[in-house]
Amino acid sequence: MSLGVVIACGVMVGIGAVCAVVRAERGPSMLDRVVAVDVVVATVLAAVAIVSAWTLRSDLVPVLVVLALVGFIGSVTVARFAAADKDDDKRILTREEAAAEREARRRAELEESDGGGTS
Amino acid sequence: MIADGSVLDTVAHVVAAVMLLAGSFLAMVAGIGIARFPDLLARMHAATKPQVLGLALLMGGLALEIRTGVVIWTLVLVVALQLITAPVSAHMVGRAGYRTSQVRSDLLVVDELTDDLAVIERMADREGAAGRQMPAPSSSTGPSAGAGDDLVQGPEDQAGASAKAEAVEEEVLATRDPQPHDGAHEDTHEPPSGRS
Amino acid sequence: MSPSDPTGASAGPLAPARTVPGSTRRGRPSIPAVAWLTLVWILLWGDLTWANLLGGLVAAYVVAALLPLPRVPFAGRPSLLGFLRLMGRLGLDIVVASVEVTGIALRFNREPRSGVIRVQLRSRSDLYLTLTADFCSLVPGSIIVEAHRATSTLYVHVLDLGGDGAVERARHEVLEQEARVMYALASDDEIARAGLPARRLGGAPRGAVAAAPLPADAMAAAVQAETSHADGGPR
Repeated sequence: MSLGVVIACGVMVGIGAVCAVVRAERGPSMLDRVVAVDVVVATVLAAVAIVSAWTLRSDLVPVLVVLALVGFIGSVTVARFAAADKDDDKRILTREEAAAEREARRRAELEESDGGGTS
Repeated sequence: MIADGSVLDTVAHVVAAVMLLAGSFLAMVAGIGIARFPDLLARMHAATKPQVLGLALLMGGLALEIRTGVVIWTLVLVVALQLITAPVSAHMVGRAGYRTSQVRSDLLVVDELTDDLAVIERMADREGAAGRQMPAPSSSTGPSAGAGDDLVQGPEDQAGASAKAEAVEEEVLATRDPQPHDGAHEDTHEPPSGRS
Repeated sequence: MSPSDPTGASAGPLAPARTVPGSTRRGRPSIPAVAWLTLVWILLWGDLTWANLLGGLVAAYVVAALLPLPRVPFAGRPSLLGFLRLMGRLGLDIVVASVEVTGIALRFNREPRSGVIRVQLRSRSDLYLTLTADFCSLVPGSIIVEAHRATSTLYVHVLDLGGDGAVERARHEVLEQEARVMYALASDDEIARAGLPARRLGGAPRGAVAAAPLPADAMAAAVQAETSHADGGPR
């Protein structure tokens, strides 16, 4: 297979993967993310197939079998336990927000143990 | 086996390249679709594409490049597994999306499921209050096909009527329970536990 | 039995094929399951040898015996021509629908107008319901969001319902998918009871399925009865 074809395939698969990752980050719901991750898995499958066709390495083929099965198990599991989540929970926290939340929780625990010690 | 450098070999390479390009293109379009479609179900339509046709094209291209018996059969297996599993995961995700009300009904042109759910709920309310026989859908579809008949074979009269109401409720739960954790029992339509 | 009421004929000696929960908890594993698992085993190993075949049979038997699934009653008559028609049409549908969905995804100036439609199937069998739902989900552009087993009703999400008559077209597509499944697998009796024209060369004459009467829609009747009740009318 010529290098041009490989590069063209790689670029297209890459664009697809980036778009899917963007959707996985934006959500908004868990199920949107799972569908997006499914597409990421599909693009990884595509990438492995392209590499395998380029290098003629047949030892990559079992990887395709595993990926085809694992993507399915992941989305079924998440769909099974998906629940209506609050608007607040649908967002991935930024680094600062996560740190602030951790800090608040630590302080609350500290106060609790302090209160327990003095009384 | 096709000899290297023959005309057929060249044709196989060209066809393989075209198939790989088409498969990659579908993967790209799936990414674009999933990034820009407005709601969960529309995004799922975009996601089905590389999983079915895209994968088949890529595996076909790869098989044409490698051309070994073992590899070809394994690739057939990959496509078969994907064809079997893709509808299952699509249905699970779509159903969970509908039940957790993550589907934006305002974007739909027609939405007969929500209409029906409202009707079933109202019927269940009324039946639960009055304790009467359950009306359509099940009673209009013949004796062996109704939901109530699936569920209830117990004694008649009072017990039968209350069991009917329970059956209707279960039916409603089966179609609109926001917590899918009891999905297993609603799918199999197991009889109420009180039945002996 | 009148052809316009195929559902009314489902009672009787040939009752609808329903899976019974727990019906195979005990008993021998089903042969198709063992055969399929053996085939997967051989394909995974990559070559057909006696060792692989025997190993696969043992592994498949153990899996099928330890993890039994409800048996699916099957009383049909498989037809090779019907099967080929089903698969050929499925492949064609997938290609055409993929191109359509690609067009929708790349048309940036227009949002797709999607919808959920209710389709009352003709048959009363779990197997045909499942296969129809599977094949509809495989074709891009339609996803089954809910399947109502008691009334054999599918709720299909269709990506693009723009234009006149798109809802009816989408409904007919699902019904034709079911007809193809039935022509591939069902017995002549099941086909007749579903109100479909008799099988010829593994399928129906062109346009015959579309011309066949629509199945009595239990849910639509319920909706109508409910609305008339809410309005104070007779039930």
